[in-house]
Amino acid sequence: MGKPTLTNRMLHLRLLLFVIIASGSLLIVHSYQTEATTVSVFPSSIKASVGHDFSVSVNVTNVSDLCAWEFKLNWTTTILNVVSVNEGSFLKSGGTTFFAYNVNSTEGHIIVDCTLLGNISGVSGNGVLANVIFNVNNLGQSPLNLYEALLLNSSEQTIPAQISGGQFSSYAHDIAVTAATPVKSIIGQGFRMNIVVTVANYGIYSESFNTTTYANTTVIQRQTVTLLSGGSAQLVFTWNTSGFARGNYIINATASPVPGETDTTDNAVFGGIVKVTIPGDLNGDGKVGTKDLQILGINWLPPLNTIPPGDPRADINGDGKVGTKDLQILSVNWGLGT
Amino acid sequence: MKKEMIPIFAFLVLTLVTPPFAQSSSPPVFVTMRGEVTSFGANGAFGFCSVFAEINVTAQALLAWTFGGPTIPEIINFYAAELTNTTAVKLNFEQQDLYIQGLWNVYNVTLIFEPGHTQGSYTLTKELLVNGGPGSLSVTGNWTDFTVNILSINLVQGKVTFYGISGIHIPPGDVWGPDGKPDRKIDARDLYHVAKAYGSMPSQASLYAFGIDFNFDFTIDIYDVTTVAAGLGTTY
Repeated sequence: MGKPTLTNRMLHLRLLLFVIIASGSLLIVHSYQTEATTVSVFPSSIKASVGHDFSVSVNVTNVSDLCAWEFKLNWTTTILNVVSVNEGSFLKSGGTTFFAYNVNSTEGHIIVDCTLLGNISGVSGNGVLANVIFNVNNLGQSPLNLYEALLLNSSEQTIPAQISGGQFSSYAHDIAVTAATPVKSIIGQGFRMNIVVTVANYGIYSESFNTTTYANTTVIQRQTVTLLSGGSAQLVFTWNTSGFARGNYIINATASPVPGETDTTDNAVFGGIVKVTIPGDLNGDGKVGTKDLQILGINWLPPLNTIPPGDPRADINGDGKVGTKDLQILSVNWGLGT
Repeated sequence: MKKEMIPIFAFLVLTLVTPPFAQSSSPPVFVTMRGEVTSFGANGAFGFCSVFAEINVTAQALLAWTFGGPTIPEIINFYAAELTNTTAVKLNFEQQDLYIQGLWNVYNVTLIFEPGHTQGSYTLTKELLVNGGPGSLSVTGNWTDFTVNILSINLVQGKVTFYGISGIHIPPGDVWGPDGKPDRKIDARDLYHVAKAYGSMPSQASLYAFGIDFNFDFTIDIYDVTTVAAGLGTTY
């Protein structure tokens, strides 16, 4: 076989281009077909204390050319009352809208409608259709049952959608850890970092309880907090990584169950993974070098709480600023690691 | 007040507060009917007819019709008839499925847009052809045909496209369903069908329709959208 001619090479390239385009199109078609449109209550599971308000949104995903929508939502009237219903931001991103709702407080349902005004194309993507604020009347559980959702496109045709509702619960004794956020994902071995933990009391009584943070299974710190009914608090835990070997650690926070608490599923939360490494290894690649110096340089001098905030990894010693002390630490360990 | 005056007074009060043709305390019956005008006198015509009625109590009826599309795009001309005073509303009356009797106004309506425009600002002329003329609307043929007979104008005839009879009040917003016809419920389909035509006028035949211009002001506006919204969730 002789050398390929220019024409042959062009043919090969065109064929290759066609294969790439065709496979890309197939991928697009495949991904489009597999992503069904959904209408759902978010969050799907929610708690609040008696006498307090909470908000859920009704969201749409993977929708195309949405021009009007309607949904119905019902609940248990002995447990919940609707306080307000507001239009979400999604449809109005496509033009002027008309929004209407009708609350039946006696039977515990609402019908909510929204439409674009005028003969214009619809909105595509994901977003919030509406927000509903409830007030909790009584202890107990109530479905937030979403039904008869109707999505219409600019041809006045129904857009098929999967519908899913939510569930509300309120117990007499019920505490929760709602978030645990380490301020850094990489920490120099031997240095300290903070973990911010949010706890809440969804019950009807004031509660005192212990909250404990863990690195893998090792206790980082334990704090006792007292929260009034409906209250929440942010607790700051400090992790001193002295004595912890280099490696990845799973950060968890748990709240000890209070007497009478039956639902403890939300008493623990995963806070992420933190890498303990050589001080000065800011990017976590296991060595201290120019890439780490770059991170330090980019965040040099301004306090970390500026807007936009600085990169907390650059604050090696955890004093809230990036300066010569951090550079010193990096210098001492320069070149370490493999 | 003298004793002998009391029965006369009571009679006057009852006469004033009782609808003139209220006949019984049987459960209310509500009716709606939509139709297409097919002829005006001996001539073919096209247009729209809309009826909302509570049997033996009152009715609203509205018709608009014309002979053909505008010969000059900027000038729209049509006839409109409106029931202004109901004297009888009966169901299954003397071989008629629905019979409405009352006084009618009939107009010759002309909309003149600015040269080169078919929407926006316009001059409206409503020539009153009949002022409170007696007339009737009757539906026959097992809800297939309707005839409007108003004194001093030609007979208006047409075909029924939809009708509904219900024990609950029928709001006017049911204009559209999955098959493009009213579907006996008011939902987002009706709302969007009207909202899509928002801002349109009779010159825009693909959007504007008399059947969704509830206040008959020749523009689909927020009044029409809110009219549908007021009935959302209703099934009849």
